[in-house]
Amino acid sequence: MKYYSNDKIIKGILKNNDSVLHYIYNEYYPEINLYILKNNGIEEDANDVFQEGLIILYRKIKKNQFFLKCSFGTYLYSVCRLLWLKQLREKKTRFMVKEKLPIYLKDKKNQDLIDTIEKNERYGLYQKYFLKLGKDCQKTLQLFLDNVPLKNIAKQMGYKNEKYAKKKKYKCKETLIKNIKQDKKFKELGNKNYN
Amino acid sequence: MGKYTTENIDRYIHGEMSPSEKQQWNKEIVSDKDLEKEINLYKELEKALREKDIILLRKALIIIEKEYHKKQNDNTYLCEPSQKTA
Repeated sequence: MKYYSNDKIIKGILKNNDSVLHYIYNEYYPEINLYILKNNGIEEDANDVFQEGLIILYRKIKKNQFFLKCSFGTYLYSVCRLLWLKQLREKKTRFMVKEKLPIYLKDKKNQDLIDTIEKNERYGLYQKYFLKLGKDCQKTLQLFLDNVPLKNIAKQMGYKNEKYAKKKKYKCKETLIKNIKQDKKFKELGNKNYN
Repeated sequence: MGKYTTENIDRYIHGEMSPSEKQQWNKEIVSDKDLEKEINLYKELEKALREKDIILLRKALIIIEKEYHKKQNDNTYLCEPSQKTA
């Protein structure tokens, strides 16, 4: 097995490098999986937390707020642990949470991490459902977001006219919003402010 | 939702409404918290969909996660002890 330094891992995540991402799974997933299984979670939770943990790290690296004082694995583990404890708490689980919520969740120094986590909860939900739309819908919405002229969208997607292209956009958006709202996580997020 | 259709909300956030229609909506938003929430949701959704790099990373992670578990399962299968017979 290859070994990657912190620096290589960070660059690899930024570049979406396949072998680095594989390495991260092989190296760090088992430990996090075990932690979640021991704390009232199932495999699906572990998958979810691990992915979101990595995306949160990516967001922080991109913002250049990533100063590692420890190994990459230790940091990833602590972010995932925090994510899971937060989720357990919000679920108001009938299970006992063995662990108390770490104090650093209330620590001002970590406010940025908390903000990133909260933004990622909402954005992640939207993005997950976007990726579950049909390819046609994804492409159509993407073209509109890129401000491609309506005429070109119709042409590129093979829609009969511009009016239909717009109709398609609204239809896709409607489906997307409907699916997001049906997720029980959305309701949990419901009372928070958007920004 | 009546007139608050996806189409109208989308037109509102993209500034595609006539000035009078827009003015009307601006008034309604002040008194209708649900409408305000809905508009904010559409705005935020749009921001999330503009994060192309993160969407790409999500796509990559979904594939890698599948491959990882497939490999694990294959290994488990190989190492599975044979069942004891009574």
